[in-house]
Amino acid sequence: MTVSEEREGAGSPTVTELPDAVTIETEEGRLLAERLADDSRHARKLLEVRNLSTQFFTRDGVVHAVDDVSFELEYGETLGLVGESGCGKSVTALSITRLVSSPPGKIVSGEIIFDGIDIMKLSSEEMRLLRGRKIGFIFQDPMTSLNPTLPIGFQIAESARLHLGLSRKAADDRASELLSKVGIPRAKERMGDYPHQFSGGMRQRVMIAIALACDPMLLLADEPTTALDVTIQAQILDLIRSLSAEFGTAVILITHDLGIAAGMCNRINVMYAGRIVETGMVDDIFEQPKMPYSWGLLDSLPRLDEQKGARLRTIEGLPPDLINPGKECRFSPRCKYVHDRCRVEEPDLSAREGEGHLARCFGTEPGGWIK
Amino acid sequence: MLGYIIRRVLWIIPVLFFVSVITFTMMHLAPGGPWAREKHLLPSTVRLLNLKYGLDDPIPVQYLKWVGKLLTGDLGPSYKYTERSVNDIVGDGIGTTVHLGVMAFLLSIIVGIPLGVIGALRHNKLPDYVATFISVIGIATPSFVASILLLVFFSVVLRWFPTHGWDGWAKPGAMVLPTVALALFPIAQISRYTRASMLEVTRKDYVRTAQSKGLKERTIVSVHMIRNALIPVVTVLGPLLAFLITGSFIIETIFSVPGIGRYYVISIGQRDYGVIMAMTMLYAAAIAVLNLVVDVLYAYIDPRIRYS
Amino acid sequence: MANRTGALERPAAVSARSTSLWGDAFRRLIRNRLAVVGGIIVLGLLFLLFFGPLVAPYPYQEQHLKELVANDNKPIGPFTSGFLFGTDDLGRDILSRMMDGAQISMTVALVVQAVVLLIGLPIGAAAAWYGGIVDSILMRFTDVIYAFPDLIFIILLTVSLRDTAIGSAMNGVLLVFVAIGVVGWVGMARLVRGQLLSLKETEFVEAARAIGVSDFKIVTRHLLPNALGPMIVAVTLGIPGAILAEATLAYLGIGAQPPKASWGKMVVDGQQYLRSEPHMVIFPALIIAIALLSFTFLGDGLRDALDPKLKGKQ
Repeated sequence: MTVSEEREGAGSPTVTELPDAVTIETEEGRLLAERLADDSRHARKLLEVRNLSTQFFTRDGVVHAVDDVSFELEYGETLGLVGESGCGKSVTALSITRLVSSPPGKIVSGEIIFDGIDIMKLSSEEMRLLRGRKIGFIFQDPMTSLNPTLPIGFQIAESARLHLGLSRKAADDRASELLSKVGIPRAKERMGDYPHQFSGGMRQRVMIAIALACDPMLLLADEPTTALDVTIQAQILDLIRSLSAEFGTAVILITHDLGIAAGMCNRINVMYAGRIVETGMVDDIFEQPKMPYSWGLLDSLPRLDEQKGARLRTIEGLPPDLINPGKECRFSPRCKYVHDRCRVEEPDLSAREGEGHLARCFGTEPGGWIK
Repeated sequence: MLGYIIRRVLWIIPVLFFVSVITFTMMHLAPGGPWAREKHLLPSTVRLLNLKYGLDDPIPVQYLKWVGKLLTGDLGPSYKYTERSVNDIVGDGIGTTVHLGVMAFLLSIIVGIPLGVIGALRHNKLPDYVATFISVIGIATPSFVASILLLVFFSVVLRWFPTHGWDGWAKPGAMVLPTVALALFPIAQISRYTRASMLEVTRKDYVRTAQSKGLKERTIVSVHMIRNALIPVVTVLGPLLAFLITGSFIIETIFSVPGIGRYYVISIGQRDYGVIMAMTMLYAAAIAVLNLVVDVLYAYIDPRIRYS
Repeated sequence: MANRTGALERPAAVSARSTSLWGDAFRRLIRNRLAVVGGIIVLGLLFLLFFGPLVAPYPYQEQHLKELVANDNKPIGPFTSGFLFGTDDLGRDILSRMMDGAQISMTVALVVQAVVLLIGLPIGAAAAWYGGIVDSILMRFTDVIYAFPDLIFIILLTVSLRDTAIGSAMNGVLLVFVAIGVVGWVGMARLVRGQLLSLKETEFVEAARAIGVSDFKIVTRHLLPNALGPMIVAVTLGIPGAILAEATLAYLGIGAQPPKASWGKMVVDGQQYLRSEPHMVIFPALIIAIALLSFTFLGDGLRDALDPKLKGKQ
């Protein structure tokens, strides 16, 4: 199998192909492909998502879960996808690895370029080879994401054996190394233990070890701490942060909690109703958010310095129906600053102050009515 | 887990005790003694017979004696075939019955599980409909109906197999129809449960995790899914084993297989109460032990129970 | 039960057109074609239960000796004039006998399930409600019965009582009901207990207690109606087992005695004529299978209709 790499952008090496005698399945082929890829890496992004739309075809109608979403990710960067339940952030991540269950879901349009490879053009076999090897996934619920009838050591070593061609022993060694790296005490002895013998936090660490087993370039972390106690949350996030720094892994962190995103990410995409409504560097989003929904999110974070007994602030209303999204701004029914124009027309993402800072709101545009 | 096993083993005792009481009581509820049907016997002969078999002892004494004998493995006398004890009769036929049962069991697993797995994996497509159809037929058709239909079709019409004449491996042809007839219902049940279980497993999160690791579908099914799917299926094995035992009554009768099942049916018709009682206890004990084995197996293969 | 909370997660996406629990369930049931077919057949069988003798072409025990002799003393084949499914070796019309058999089977179905409910429901409810020692004792008791293989127990019962007064009542049919019902209540008791246990801890029970509603009223007015769904399903799905048990007993020579025409008995009678006049066996066998399938499909459909979560389709 050859891996043809296509490049976008100006002035760069062109299509590279492996000599026929060498395939991606051998260690040699892999190294060769890596080296070829490496050369072109400096001038491009790890991930480019362009106009991604993913829909679900249900009996009640077509759900536009992800609607024309575009963003980029640099090598080694940590990006946050933040929003309420149902805003499309998980589906976006699943779309990147083409894990959306289909039926009823389907990526209907858009491009996804990962490490120079056009994801949408890959066969399912080629896609499968990417998963686990170049892209790791951490799922939300550690209680159900691990196979209860297999020892955790096996579950970690599995992808190493498959993708890296390691022998059983070598893979097991690697697995126990990873296990201790993620903070499981007495890792080597616990390799043969089963998931139910671990607590929630520990299981999530095991998940992290699984995701990082083949040293992937991208880690997709879908609400990795939502199902855990607050005290454990911090530990898990620290772990993800330190490991990604150590291995140079890029991370897309999906969460509904802006506080978590603040501590971990370089950049943040705020999503609402299947769209990105604001994007920018983490400081810009926190210090000068330019979209009423982002304000609402920030506002709703409980703070330590508040009056005891003060009411929690919420964003009134409920998320919209994704089956027939209209042409108006999707946040308008809940927006405190809504004007007539918002109810008729949807704003595009337009530039604000700060590098790469875009927001989808008429009111905060230069000349708009929100100051 | 050891505690669990011990408790389960101990549990058999009250069950068998209860069964023995019920069996004994029932048989003695039947009006008239074992000689009631034989009109030609003189009253004095009847009295002698009762004496010989201890039938004029008070009931509780009879019960205790009976249980005592059972515990030493003495199944008692047959009232119809006075020269042979139940032990003799059982000894003759039990090998055959077990042989038939084991073969039917193996057949049902070899056919049932793949049928269920394929049905689940090709959900709502042709293989699924075929598998479901087979299992529905298997469940809805009583074993005697199935046996007769098989007999008619394969023995009378096609003449592929004989209608009777079981002789173990000496006559492999004669083993086919009885085994298939007995296995029909278990195949249907196993495939149904396997299919349902696999479908559930398909929706589990850890399957998605396996996919995200980039594993081949074949690997995901065989390494991750099947072992989880088969665990609930084990729970249905207990009733199935019981079915194989009670089903043998009918199958052996229809196909003239010389096992103890056929003999049980005959003794029911002949009102040979000694045999009925003894064999009932035998069956009850066998089923209790088999259920125990299944329960222990279940606890063993589920790591969540084994290591807890 | 129908999942109302599902509606809260995506309020606008789900249109509000469904009304009551039962209305919902009924609509779902209708959509299931197999269940509908099964239901129609079940209704047909019930009709035969009540009106069988009126509809049958001949009395089931009437022997048509003239026609028999005219046919060389052999059973008359199917689709001949006057005998749609032919006759048996005694000249009795098979179709009429099948209808009589339908009466027996349907009576077994209904009476047995009634017995099962009558015994199982109070015991299960008592076990769940009172808990503690009462529960332990009752559950141990049911466990022991449960461990005893059904068919053997039924056989024992019928064999031991068949020569008594009960055994002869209604040509042996009454005994069959009693035997099957006595064995079958255990499953229902467990089901009821399980359902009530999970409902017992809910808050509205606490509230009712606090107000001073009597135990009995709580159980009957509040708890049982919620358990109704699974109970209906269990009753429906238990019927094939009962019919099968009756047919098996008849086949073994226990149960309905001649000239009563149990389907099982018809099969065993016809067995000797398998090669020459297979119709004697085929028609009763077919109707047994059809009846079993119909109740099974109907029961499955009811279960899916009353709790779609169990079905697993999205």
